[in-house]
Amino acid sequence: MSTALHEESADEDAILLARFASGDQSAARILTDRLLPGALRQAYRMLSDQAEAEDVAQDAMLRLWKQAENWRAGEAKASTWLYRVVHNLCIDRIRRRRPQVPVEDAPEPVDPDPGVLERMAQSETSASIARAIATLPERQRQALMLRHFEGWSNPEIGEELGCSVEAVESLLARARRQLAKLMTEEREALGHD
Amino acid sequence: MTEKMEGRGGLDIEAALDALAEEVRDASPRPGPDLMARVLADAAATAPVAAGSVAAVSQAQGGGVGILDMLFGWTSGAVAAMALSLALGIGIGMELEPGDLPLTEADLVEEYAAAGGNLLNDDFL
Repeated sequence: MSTALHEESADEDAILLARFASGDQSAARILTDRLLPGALRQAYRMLSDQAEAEDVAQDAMLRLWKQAENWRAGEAKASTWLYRVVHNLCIDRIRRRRPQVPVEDAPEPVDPDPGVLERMAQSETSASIARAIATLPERQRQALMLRHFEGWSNPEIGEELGCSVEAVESLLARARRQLAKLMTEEREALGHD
Repeated sequence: MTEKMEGRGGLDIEAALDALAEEVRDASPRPGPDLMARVLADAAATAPVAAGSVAAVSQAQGGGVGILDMLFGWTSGAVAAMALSLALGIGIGMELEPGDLPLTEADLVEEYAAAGGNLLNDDFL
C-alpha cells in the first residue's frame, strides 16, 4: 500500500469513527469490514490459534468502539492503534499460557511463535525465508514485519519502534542484507547454484 | 525504500518477502459471519453510551428540555424535578386529614349519605 493511500485510508477511518460516535451504525459495519481482517490476521500470526485470535480481534474492536467518542483525528490512526491493542492482548494471552510464572513477572515474549510464518508459507522459497526471518534480531524483524506484512510506511514504523525514519531504513536494509546472506547460505548448503 | 537485494543465487529478497506476505495473508483465517455478528453486536451495544449518541438523542428530543434542564443541565434538572415532586407530595399530604379520603366501600357509602344530608339541609334552609 502506498503512503498516500495509507494516509487517505487513515483519514477515512477517523471520519467513520466520528460517524459511529454520533450514532451511525452503518459506520461500524464499514469499519469492521476494513479493520477486522487485519486484526484477526495479526492475532492469528501471534497466537496460532483461530478461536483465541477471534476473541482477541473481537476484544480489540470492542475497545475501538469504546474509544470512538474520545478519538482525536490526526493523533493516532485507527489501524496502528488497533495493531498495538491486538499486540498487547496477544502478549497477555501468551503470558497466561505459562502458569508457572506470575503474569506481572513474565518477560514480554520476544517472538511468540517463530515457526508460524514457516507453517503458513506455501512454497519452499517462502518457507526458507520465513525460517531466516525468525533468526533476525528483534527490532529488525519487527520493522520488516510491519513493512511487508502490515504495509506500514517508514514514519509509522518509526513511531511504533520509537526511532527516526533513517533508523527504520537502516533496520530494514540490515534485515534484507541478513536475509540475503542467510538465503544464499541455505541454497548453497542444499546444493543450488 | 525499495532497494533490490539479491542473494548470490539470484533470489530477489524484496520479491520473496512480498510473496511470503501474500501466502501468509492467504493462509490466515478471515472473519466469518459469526465473528462479524459478534463485533457488530458489540458496536450496537456500545453506541448508546457514546457521548455523541447521548448528544444526538438529546438533540432529537429538542423541545422536551425544561427550564431546570436549561439552568442546571439534565442530571441536575432531573434531581431538582424529583425534589420538587417530593416536596409537592409532602405538602399535599400535610393538608389531608385521616378520613378525608374514603378508603373502603363502607366509607364511600357513608360519605354519599353525609353529602345527601347536607344537600337536604341546604334545600330546607
